Amino acid sequence: MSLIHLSLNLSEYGRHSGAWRHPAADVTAIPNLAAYVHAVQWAEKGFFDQAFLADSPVHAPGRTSVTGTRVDPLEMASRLMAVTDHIGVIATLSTSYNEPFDVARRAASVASLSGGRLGVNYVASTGAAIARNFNRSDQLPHDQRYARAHEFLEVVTRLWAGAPTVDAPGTPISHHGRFFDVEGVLDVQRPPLGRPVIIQAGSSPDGRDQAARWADAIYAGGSSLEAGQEYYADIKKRTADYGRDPESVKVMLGLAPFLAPTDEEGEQLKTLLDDFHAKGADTIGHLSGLLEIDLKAYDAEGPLPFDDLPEVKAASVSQAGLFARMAREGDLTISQTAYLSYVGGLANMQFVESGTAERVADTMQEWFEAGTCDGYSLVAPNIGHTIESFVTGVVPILQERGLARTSYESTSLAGHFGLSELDDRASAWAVA
Amino acid sequence: MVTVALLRVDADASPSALLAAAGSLAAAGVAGVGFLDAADLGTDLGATESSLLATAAALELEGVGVVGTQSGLYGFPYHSARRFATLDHLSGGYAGWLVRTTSSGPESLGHAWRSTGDRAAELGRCSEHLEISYRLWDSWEDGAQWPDKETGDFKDDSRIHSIDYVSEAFQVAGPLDVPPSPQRRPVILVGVSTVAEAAALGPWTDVAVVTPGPDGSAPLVVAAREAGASLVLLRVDDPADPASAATLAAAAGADGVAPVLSVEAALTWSDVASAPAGGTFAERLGLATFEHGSRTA
Repeated sequence: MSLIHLSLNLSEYGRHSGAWRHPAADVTAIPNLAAYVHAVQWAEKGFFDQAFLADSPVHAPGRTSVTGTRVDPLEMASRLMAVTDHIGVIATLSTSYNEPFDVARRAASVASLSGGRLGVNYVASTGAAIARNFNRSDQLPHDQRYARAHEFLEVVTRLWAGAPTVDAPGTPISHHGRFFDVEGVLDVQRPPLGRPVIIQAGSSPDGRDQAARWADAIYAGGSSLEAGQEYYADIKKRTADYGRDPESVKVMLGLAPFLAPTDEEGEQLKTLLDDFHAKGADTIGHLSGLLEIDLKAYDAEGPLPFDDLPEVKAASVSQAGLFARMAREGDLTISQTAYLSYVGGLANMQFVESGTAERVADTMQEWFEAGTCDGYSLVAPNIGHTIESFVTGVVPILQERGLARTSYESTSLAGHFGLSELDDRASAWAVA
Repeated sequence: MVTVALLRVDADASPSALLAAAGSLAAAGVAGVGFLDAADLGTDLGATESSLLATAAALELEGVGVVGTQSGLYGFPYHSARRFATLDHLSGGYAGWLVRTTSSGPESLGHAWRSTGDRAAELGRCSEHLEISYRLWDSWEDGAQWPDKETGDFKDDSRIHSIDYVSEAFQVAGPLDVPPSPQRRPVILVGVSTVAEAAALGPWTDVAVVTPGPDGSAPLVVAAREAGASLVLLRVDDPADPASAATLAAAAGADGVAPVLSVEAALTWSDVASAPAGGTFAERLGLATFEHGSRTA
């Protein structure tokens, strides 16, 4: 039987927006290196394949913290590798706002320093605000961002394939494409296994295509079992269509568990974090924005003014419909609906499971065996608590069922994926 | 006499040997340890890039400055500011950035920007790159970060400002997304081998690392100091021992020395008479605390 691959989404407090206000969250140091070290070392105790560092190189305005403080992900990866021996670390890098030569050089260095434990998650960043930090007034259109990402991966993988070693000089490349002109050869060692592991996340058709072409592992989100099965089958098919072994790409499904000794306490933990997030926040203002109506003109403890609701034109139209329906069917007040809209707006939480370790393990096994994924990306609601409870509670159950490894058999990230070698990936996609 | 040792990252140097050499230099009493990669040394191949090795070494170098290099000509200033702010956080206030200003070697053919060979233009670009970095480090006022679990305020955006830098070469809006680091910003070290370099980059230089030119090193030491460097070190390649390096630096009128050492040579160094212990790299170098806006006001 194959094993469930495990990844931990790293943050200081947790992915839940209320986590930093929990009494256990240490906000005396920002960013909090000790919290990262604690989380990654616990993940290593649970024999996780990898820990993941998200990134977006732009300031996030707003008085509350959402995902913790940003730092350069390769620098953080290098620092976390120094306090671990087996676990892989994934750093997210933008293909829109980096130069491939610089990324190839820096990623090869961390891969060498860690003995082949680095993965790079490539994202075609969206948004004008990031663009304005990198010599642009606006982002490239969608199709150009993906074309650039493809060319970017082509250049970095060719640079790695041609990188020198102590015993052999490198093979210079000469790339002249739509986005990049890169000649020559890297001046750092060819990394272990030839290159860092390539990670992608993406659900759009372009994102899926890119992942099937390039990725060794994919981060996926799934709201229902059926949607997860569809995504998994589609990725494996697309991978095979590109002439690759479908087993060579691992699909990691996001999972946000609220773990507790009883199911009831799990629900209580979720409510507690939701309350921390909403406490003192302008929830009615938030719902007003979604519904495009000033709800402060109405009684907060009364019902939504259904007859006055305008037809919502913005991107939030589906959310607006959802909350109006919830309010009508559940007979909720404005303030109750506002609370739900605020705490329910936690994007990318993937599927949520609350309760005992047994319950979470059951769900993981069910979705795994139903063909939705090769493993899970733990999107920890409050990270210190989640990772400790997961490793002491869920991992032993999975091990007992033969679904999780009981020791590391490799010291490289590719090895954790069951790959003894990595193809250079570059040769298949040499410039046509 | 302040000593900042610069280790050569040779092709065959293993990560563990580099970290051991760095640790040995720290124990010998240097104020800081830097790493020179292939791009700095002008060689074809080094084991790794400098700044990520510096980050990995931060654990070994507790209480000692940890200096990474990176070009001030190639790449994006936003990334530079972010990387070295991160290194300062991860090292607990001991980060230094030794700015590379050369336009040769593999990186010169790997990046979008290409030099025309006009040195004045190169130095102008480098100066802009540093100015943008400083402005990004200054984009958060003191006290902008104030996590208050009771009220839910994590930071105060009214004290975090865009920089909106626009020139022919760069367009950077900011603010930086990394909050101010323990030193507020890394220590900036700049290699100086001509009077023009000293003058162009002096406004952004904390520590000038002087390489002797045709007229010797004394005129460069004076020029660097006049242009704004707070501290001037003499670069000495492969000195026989700490004492001989210090003697050369004193003769040049420098405040200290930056010996360039191989891994093997570094292991033989001991009893380096250096600056006393301090809570940050700047303190160990005897520099005044970096105030908000101190070089951009």
